[in-house]
Amino acid sequence: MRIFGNRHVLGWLLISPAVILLVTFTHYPSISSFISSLFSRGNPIRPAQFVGTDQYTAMMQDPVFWTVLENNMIYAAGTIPASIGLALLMAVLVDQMLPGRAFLRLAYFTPTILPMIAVANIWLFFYTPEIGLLDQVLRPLGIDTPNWLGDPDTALWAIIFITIWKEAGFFMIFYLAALQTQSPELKEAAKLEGASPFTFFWRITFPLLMPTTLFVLVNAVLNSFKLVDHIFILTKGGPNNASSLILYYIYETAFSFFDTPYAAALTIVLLAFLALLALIQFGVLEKRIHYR
Amino acid sequence: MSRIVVENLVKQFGDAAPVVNGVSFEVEEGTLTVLLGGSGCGKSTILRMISGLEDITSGSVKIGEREVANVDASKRGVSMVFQNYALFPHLSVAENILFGLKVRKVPTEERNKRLMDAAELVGLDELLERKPAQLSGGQRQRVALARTIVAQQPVCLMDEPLSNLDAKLRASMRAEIRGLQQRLGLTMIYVTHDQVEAMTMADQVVLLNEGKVAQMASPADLYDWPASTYVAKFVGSPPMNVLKRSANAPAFLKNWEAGWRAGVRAEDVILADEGLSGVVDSVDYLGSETILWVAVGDQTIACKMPGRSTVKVGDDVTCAWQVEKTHWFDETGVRRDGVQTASPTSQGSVSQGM
Repeated sequence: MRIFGNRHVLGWLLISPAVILLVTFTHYPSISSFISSLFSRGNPIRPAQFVGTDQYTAMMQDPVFWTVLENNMIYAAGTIPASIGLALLMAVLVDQMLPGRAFLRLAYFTPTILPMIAVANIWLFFYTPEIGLLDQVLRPLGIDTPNWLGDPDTALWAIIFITIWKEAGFFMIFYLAALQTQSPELKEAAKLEGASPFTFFWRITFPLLMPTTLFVLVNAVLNSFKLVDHIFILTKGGPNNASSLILYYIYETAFSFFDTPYAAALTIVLLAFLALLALIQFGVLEKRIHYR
Repeated sequence: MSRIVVENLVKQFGDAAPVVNGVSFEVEEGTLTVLLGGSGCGKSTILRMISGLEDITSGSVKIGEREVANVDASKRGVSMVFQNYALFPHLSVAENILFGLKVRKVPTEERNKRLMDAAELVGLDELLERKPAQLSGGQRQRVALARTIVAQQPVCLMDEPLSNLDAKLRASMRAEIRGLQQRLGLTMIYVTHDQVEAMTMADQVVLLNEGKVAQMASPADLYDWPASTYVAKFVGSPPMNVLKRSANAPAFLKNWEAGWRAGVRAEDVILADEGLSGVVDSVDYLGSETILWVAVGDQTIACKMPGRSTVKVGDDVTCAWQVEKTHWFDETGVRRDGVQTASPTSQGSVSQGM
C-alpha cells in the first residue's frame, strides 16, 4: 500500500479511467483531425504534403460549405425553440392531475424511444408523393401538395418537422422531472396571494425551470449540429444540397469523396463553433440561473 | 370583522370514510385557536378548507359573517404559513415578502413601507437581499411570517409552522408568533400535533379525533376537565392514568361503578400506606421530577414525584390520591362527573366521586 501513500499518485489513479477514455476518443481525435487538416490529400503516387491553411482557404470559397452552414442555421433556428417550447407545454400539461396521464406521458415520449432509422423510414412513407400518408389525407381535401422531400423549398422543413416531433418528447421528460420536484406548497402560497396560473408560471415555475432549460438548450444545440441518420434515409442531403447539414457534408466529404483532410478541416470548424456556443451558454446564462 | 364560524364541516374523498366529519367551532376576532390532534385526524384538511385550498364537501365556513365556501381562496381575506414555509427559492427575501403585494398591484411606495415595517417586526432587516437557501430554518420561518404580515389580512392560518425547527428555536418562535398575533390583533387558526404548542399559545383548543371534535376548551379546561378518555390521554405528559376497576378496588375510591374508569393525573398520585399496591416497573428521572411507572395488576400507573426519588425499580409501593382528584369516565369513555362534556347525553348526570 506504500504506493497509495502519495496523494498525487492516488489522485491520478482515480481519474485515470476518465482521462484514458477522454484522451483516446475525444482529445486525440480532435488534435489528429487538426493536424491532418493542415496537409494536402495524399495518394499512392503523391504523399500528403504540409499545406498550412490551404484547406481553410478552400473552405471559404466552397459554395457547398456556405449552403450547408446556412441550412444548419435554419435547421437550428427551426428546431430548437419549437421543440423546447413544445416540450415545456407538454410537460406542464401532463404534470397535472389528468385521467390517463401516465398514458399521455408515454405517448409523448414514444418518438424518443423509437430507433432513428425506423422513425426515418416511417416518415419517408408519410412524405412519399401520391401514396404517402400526407398526400392521401391532403389531396382529397383539394390541397395541392409539393413533393415534400424532393422540393428544395420543403425538404429541409420536412426534416425540421421530424426533429421537433422527436426531440420534444425527450426534452419533456427533463421538464417533467423538474416540475415534479417543485413543492405544491409554492403553488398554494401563490394562489392564496391571488396569483393567476399564468402569473405563477412566468414568475415562479419558469424561472425555477431555468437550469433544466439550459441543459435542454445545450443538448438541442448539439443535436442540431449532429444530425446525420435522418438525412441518410430521407434525402441524402438533396435535392441540390437543400437539406444537407454540416455533419452530413463532413461525412460525404470523408467517406464518399475520400477527401479526409478537407473533412478534418470542416470538423475543426464545427468543433470550434460548438465550443464557442457552449461557452456563451454556460458563461452568460449560468449567471442568471438559480440553482437550488 | 374577522370572526370565523365553522359549521358541520365535512370532507370526503370519493367513497372513502369522511376525513372530516361534522366539525363545528367558532374563533372570536383577535384570538388564537389551536386545532390539535394526532396525524390523520383531519386538522390540516380543516385548515385547507377554511383557506380555500381544499373544496368543502358539505357544511359552512363564515369569515366575518360572510359565507366563503364558494369564494376564491385569494378573496377570503386569509393568509397562510405553510409547514415547509413555501418560500420561492429563486427570489430574494424582499421579493418573497412582496410577491403577494405585487400580484395585488399595491403601489410601490406602500409596498416598500409595509416591507420595512414587517422586516423590522420579525428582525429580517439585514437579510432582505439573501436567497432562502442562505437562511437558517428560523430565518425562513420569519420570512414566511413577514409575508403574512405584509398581506395585512385579518385572518392568519398556520399549518404546523414550527415542526421543522429544533426544540430550542421552537420555544422562542412560539412566543414570537403569539406575540405577533396579539400585537397585530390577528384572528389566527394554528394547526399542530404538539400539545405543548397548544397549551402555551392558544386562547382556545379544538382537539380533534378521527375527523370529529373531541373537545373544545381553553388549555386549562382541557387539562383539568377532559371530556373523554381520549382527551385525557392526549393532553398531559405523561398522559392521564385511566384505570379499569379491578377486583381489589381501593377503599378510598368508593362509588366506583362497574364498567366505569377512574382517571388521575400523574402529579396527583402520591405514595401512601393504603391504596393500589404494585411494583415499580421503571423510573424516568427528568431532573426537576421523576416519573415512576408502577405495575398494579395488569395496569400501569404513572406517578410524578418532585425532584429525585429514592424509589428503585422492583420496589413495592402503594399509590393513592385525593378522591376529589379523580376523573370519572363511563363505559364509552365519556366524562361522567360534571361540566365540559362533549356528548350532550352525559350532561347533568350524577357527579360521582366529587
